[in-house]
Amino acid sequence: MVKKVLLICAGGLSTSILMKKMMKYAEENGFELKIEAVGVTNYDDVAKNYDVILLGPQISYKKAEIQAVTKMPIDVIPAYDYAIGNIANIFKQVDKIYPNK
Amino acid sequence: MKKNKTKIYDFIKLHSAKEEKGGVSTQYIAEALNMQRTNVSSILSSLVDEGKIDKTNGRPVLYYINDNSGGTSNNCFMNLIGYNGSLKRAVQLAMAAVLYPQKSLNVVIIGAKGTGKSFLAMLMHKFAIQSGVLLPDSKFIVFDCRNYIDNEQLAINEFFGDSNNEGCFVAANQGVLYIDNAQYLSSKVRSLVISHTEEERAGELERKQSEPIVIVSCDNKNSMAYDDFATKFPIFIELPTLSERPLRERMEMIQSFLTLEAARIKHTLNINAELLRCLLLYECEANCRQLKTDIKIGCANAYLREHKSNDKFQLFISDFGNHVRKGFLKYKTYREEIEKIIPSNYSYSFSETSMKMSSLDKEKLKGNNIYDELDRKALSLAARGLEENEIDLLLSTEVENMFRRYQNELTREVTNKEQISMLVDKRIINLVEVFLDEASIKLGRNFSDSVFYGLCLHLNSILSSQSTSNKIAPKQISDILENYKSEYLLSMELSLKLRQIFDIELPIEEVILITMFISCQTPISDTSNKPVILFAFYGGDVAASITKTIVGLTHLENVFSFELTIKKDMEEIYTSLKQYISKIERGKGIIVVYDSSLLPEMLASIEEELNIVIRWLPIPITTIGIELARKAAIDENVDIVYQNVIKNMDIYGMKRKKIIVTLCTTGKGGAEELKRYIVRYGKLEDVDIIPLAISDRDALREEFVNMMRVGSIHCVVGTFDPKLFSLPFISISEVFSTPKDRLPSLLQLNGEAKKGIDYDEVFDYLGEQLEYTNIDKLKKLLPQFLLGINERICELSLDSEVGLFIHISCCIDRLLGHMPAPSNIRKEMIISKHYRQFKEVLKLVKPIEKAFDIIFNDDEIANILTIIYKL
Repeated sequence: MVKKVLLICAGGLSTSILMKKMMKYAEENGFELKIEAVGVTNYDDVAKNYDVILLGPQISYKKAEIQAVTKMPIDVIPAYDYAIGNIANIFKQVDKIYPNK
Repeated sequence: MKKNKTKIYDFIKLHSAKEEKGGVSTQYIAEALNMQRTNVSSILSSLVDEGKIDKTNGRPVLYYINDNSGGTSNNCFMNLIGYNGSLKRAVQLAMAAVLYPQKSLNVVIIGAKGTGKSFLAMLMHKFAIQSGVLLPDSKFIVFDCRNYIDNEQLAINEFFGDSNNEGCFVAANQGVLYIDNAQYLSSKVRSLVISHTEEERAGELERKQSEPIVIVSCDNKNSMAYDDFATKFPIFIELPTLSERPLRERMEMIQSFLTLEAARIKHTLNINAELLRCLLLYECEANCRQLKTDIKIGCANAYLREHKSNDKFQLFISDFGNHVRKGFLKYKTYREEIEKIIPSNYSYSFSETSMKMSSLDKEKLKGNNIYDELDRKALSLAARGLEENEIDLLLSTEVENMFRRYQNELTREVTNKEQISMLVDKRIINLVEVFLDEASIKLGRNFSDSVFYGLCLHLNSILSSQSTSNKIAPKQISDILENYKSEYLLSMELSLKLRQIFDIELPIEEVILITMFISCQTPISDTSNKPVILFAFYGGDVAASITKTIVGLTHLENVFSFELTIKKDMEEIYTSLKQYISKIERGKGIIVVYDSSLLPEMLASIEEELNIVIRWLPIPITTIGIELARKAAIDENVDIVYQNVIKNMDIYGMKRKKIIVTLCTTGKGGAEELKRYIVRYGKLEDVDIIPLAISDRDALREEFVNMMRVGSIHCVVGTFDPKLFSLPFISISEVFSTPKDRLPSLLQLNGEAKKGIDYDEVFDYLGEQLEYTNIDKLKKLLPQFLLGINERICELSLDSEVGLFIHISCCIDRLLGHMPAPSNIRKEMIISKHYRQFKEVLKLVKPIEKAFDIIFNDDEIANILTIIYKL
């Protein structure tokens, strides 16, 4: 099964480094991952291609709004995990909100 | 025919006095009553012959009621709205001037535009005729000075005559000369007029019969004219503005104008309470005249819209100008008064002779809950073209009113269940009845009516899904579960029944609330044995307004206000403040928010005298305001003024010194040692560290109270927790077990999470991920940058700080790799809105730009601002 994760932060920059690390992690642990990092102003078009959304902590205040727009499972990455790129924790988070198909 | 005669007579009686000209014309009557002009004319002359009415000389002939015929002491002033109210003195003076023995006195009438100066002058003329001072055919000559603003000579000629012209002093002989808008006369003409009238008076009391009574009107803006006339004319009448007059009188005017219009349009005008209230409250710059004109315009619009439909006209607020709508905004202030004058639940209709109030169909409202009613209201308001925020305002006050009404009903212990059934679903009432019966048997307790009503209304609001769940602290929930088990079980049963009947699941909080209802717990917002807050500020109503706003928003009745008067002497202030504090205090102490440097001393002695716990919170807004105003008057540069005052904030007692107390039971040595350690490794700025070695709690309390007068105790560090004033405590072992570099954040008490970030790890992560960036440079520059943001722009939350940290790092990397930075489509808006901060960020990124030889563009700065301000 492919995990489809959309990362959103202010400009799409800071999540992009997280994205790289997550892709590497997926490769090492042998699962398929479709992932993209976008800025908070343009998630609208791409969201439908993914199953869950993770937000950078700096835009946690946008959670409700984004949830209302996309109606997808959504969570904010805890500041600490985000700051040091704690990928294992972040994937745990992804699994927790991942919709059962 | 006879019927028409009475109709016409009644019409004249009603309208003649209200028309500015003092009477109505044949044409006017014919149109209003929809009769043939010739018929009206013949009826009028027979009425005149019978002596029932009088007519004026000149064209067009105006008819008015002959008051002598009534034989009563009626005089023409009695139809003047406010003659026995706000205009009482004006009317007395006017009558006195006319009736003055041997010769009527000249009068100056002062008043803002549209207050009715000309109308009063005209009434005086009428009264002079009525009382026999002037002959029935005496003239009323109007000289409007506005027509001669730029032509002094012409004005003089018109007044005193020239070769072609006798002049209006002569023309008005044995009548009234009314000089309107005298503020427009030049000082030369003014003095000519004044000396003419004076000479004429000085001509002994033996009056030259030909001289008219002179009435001058003048607004109060041209102070020169005002002074001249006010000092030289014997009688001085001042008319109040519309807003100075009582609302009741304004209502009478509205009523009279609307009946007038109804007669003119020949239709009954229907109007609802809201619009009537707007008319009653909106700002009328040109006073009564504007009110009259606006009503005329509104009716004209309604006429345009509806004249084809039927004979009942509905006036809507959209028929009136925007300024009329603004009357809403004042509604809250005058609510109580207005409810008396214009009760809601009525609609009003004006016909040519009267106003009717008819109560709205109550049956229709029955069985519906109040929110349906509100929704209907909102819809109908929207249909009338109101803006959404106006509707909201109106409805929110409506809701408040409604609940106030219900509350009043509750306190009056209305036992009439019919009444509550108008608001609450019958099924709820039955449910609550059964529930309370059962509860009173099981618990052996009687419930008062207010519990019954309260519960009914509460459940009703839950079911109409209008109330959001009340927040109850988990602690409180567990307390209640423990102490009121049987009540809780009963409440659970009730919630089950509610689910069966209404298919609604009550959240646990609501069940707890019901439990509280029947366990006679005090409601959550009960503040009767809690501390209270007092605002004590300088100046009229400042503290009162703040308090009102706070109470309005919180609905908590624990905030009070006290006005500090600058003029009063200290002793007086002290005594009344002391009295007030002892009155409002509820045994749990008081927090005083104040802006005067005098207060601390007073509060200290009040605290002692009354033995009340007082905490002080200086917010010297007035002092700062004075400082700002003064500085701004001297300096042109806004930032210099701003920085100057901000820098000195702590002088005004705004920024209170932080204090850390180190505490040791074994002796001061230990405490001093601890202080040295903290000073060395704590990296604290602007903090006083005070070592103490006291183990006696009372002595310690006193010491702390003294410290709190000059600053705020940030935390206590030491060998034992004194548990005083809810101060945060850090134990000595915690201090020494924390790595030295973490000590600052331990002492900052910035929440647990902030301590958790180890930026070394973060840099390791960044070093791994970033391709082009030199991490060592980053390590030097980034903390500085974040510190700058925190200090100069705003304190960042942990989330924002981490986000910004990573964001900037990535950004630098991106720029170094010559990749495009993401654009920010809202940058124009963001930058213009936060221009000062934009400049500040530009300054803060300078060192980074220099070190890495890159440039942050505006998009990037806007992104940073987005993160900082959560835009």
